[in-house]
Amino acid sequence: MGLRRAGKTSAREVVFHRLPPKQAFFVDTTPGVVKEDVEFWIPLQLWEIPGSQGLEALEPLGAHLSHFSSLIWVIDAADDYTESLRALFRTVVAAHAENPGLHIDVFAHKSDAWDEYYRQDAFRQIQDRTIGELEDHPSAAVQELADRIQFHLTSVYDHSVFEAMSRVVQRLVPTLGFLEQTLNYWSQTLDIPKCFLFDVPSRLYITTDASPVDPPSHDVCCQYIENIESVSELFHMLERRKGTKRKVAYRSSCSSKIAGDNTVAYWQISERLALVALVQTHMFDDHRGAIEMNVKSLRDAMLKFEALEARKRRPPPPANAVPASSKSDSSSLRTPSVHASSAGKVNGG
Amino acid sequence: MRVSLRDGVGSGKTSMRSVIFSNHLAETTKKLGATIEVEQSQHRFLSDLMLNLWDCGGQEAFMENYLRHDQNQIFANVQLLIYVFDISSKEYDKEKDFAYYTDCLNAIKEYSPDAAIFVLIHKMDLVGSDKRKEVFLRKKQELLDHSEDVPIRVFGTSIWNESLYRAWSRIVHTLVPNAQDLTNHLDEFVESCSAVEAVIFEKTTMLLIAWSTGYPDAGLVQNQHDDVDDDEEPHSNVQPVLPPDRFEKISEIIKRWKYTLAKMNFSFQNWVQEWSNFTAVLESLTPNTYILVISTDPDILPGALRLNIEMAKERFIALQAGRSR
Repeated sequence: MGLRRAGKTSAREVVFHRLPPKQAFFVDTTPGVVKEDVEFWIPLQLWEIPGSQGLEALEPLGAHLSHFSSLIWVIDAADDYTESLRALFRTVVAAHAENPGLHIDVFAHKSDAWDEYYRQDAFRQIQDRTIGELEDHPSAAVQELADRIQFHLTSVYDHSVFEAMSRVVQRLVPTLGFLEQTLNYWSQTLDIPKCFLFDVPSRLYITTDASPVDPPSHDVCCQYIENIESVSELFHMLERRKGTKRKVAYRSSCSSKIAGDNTVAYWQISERLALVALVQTHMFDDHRGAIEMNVKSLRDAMLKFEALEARKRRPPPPANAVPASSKSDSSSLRTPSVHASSAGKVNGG
Repeated sequence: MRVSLRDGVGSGKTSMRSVIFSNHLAETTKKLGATIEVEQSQHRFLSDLMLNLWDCGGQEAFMENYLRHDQNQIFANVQLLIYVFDISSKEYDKEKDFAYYTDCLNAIKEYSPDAAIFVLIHKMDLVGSDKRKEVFLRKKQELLDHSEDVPIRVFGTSIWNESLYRAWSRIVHTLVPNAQDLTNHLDEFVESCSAVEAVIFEKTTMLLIAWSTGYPDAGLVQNQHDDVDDDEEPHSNVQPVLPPDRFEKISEIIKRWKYTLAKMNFSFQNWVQEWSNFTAVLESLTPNTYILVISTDPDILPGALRLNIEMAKERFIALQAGRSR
């Protein structure tokens, strides 16, 4: 949601439809609510409510706020955002009354319009004003929101909108904690500065290790995926010669040495997921065996986990299949067994 | 080695030069200003090949100047003339454009009769893709009509896609003295690696130096040896298995990747990719070239390919050094 011309459609098109950012300029105003099932690791449904309508637009469509798990509010940060903040406040309070569990994310969009110094300043201002207003609200429940609401500085011209969208969908991923912990173990044992678990087709990352994400390394990883994908597309007609020994299903793995002691590496984990990591070159070259071994155990764990999820999902999900919080609870209960086995192996490597 | 670039105002010579030689992305060329008079720039290519680019401003006054007064200075000792036409130039200017063009040709014939002449029809992206071929062929015919008996090669180019790399790779290929030797060695290398194909790129420009492909029906093979065919598009009706412009695309991809890395103070070093259907390894071959090897044999590990490249290095370096003698 957001006021008109805030950049809702362009953000959605760029992230989920690969619209070249240059063309985001020509995106037309969206006349009505757009409902869309997007391709993602978990089933995800996106509703875009045009700026001319508010939450009340949902009712004639038979939807209720309690069916949603996340609300994204897009602010045109290049414009005067006072009005947008006011509308945001109204919406948040109304939404909270209907669905207290709703996650709320604010995108300070079109941040490319500012220069580096002013960008952080204005971003802080947006945060402070929203949080301040929420804290001043008489209801204690609304005050609580001030701690939960998340802010992201985004732009379609770099990968920041992907990063922000990743953050949003991550919270909908069941067993996020387990995944994050696994990556933590992994990166700590092998002294890996940064790794991401990407949902490759959408370029959104599902989880990362606990160290803070710095935009440049995220940028490099995103670009790397794009880069190698375009290569594989060029040669997709090739076929493997008939091998003599190995009959295993191939899992792609790629690496590119950048700078003296940095390598960016990519391992396909499952159909959609891939692990992308920035590794120190000497580690990558000297301890390749240990790394591969760990990737393998991570992959095995993930595949087992996905199979489990698939079995659970086999009865087709209800029409509005935004994963509700109740669902994620049930799946997190099931994971410890997988977790334990993989964690053991990771430590072993 | 001198290369002259010339033609009308805003036809894109400088943006073309910066895309190829200065690691600019096409998006950033809009910021370039007009070239005033003659801008001379030197580019080291394959260590000992000096490209002396003379980027001649296209404004009318300068054109007159070159043709009247500085003829011997500008046209003498030229090995390669690249004349750039803007496909979008106005119809009423056409006669004047061609007049300049023939004047240039005459001058080059007089001062450097051995120069190879290339004509690039630039900004092809401004023509709708359905009409592109037709427009290109018509323009090419017009050019041939205006060049009398001088042999020219014509390419349609655009900085927005790989056609520019294609044209420049062909142009540069004529400058690499032992191109055939390189290709032969590369063929041998491909065979000993039982690889599908291998390509050598120049490091800074990512232009193709040599390529060898064992892949049947790859579309590129016929084109490469067919010197009469200056046509950008392959005209066989059979759809080749691999896209014929894949190497140019790879140049683009790597250039883009380098650009991203440069922003973060990283630099590109190598590339190893193992996909379900092929393995690709890109490594430094000589101090100024990269080699890309594509293999489909599941029993050949990327490490083996890298080792082979490592072992071939010496030979290719010697081959390149042989040129300077």
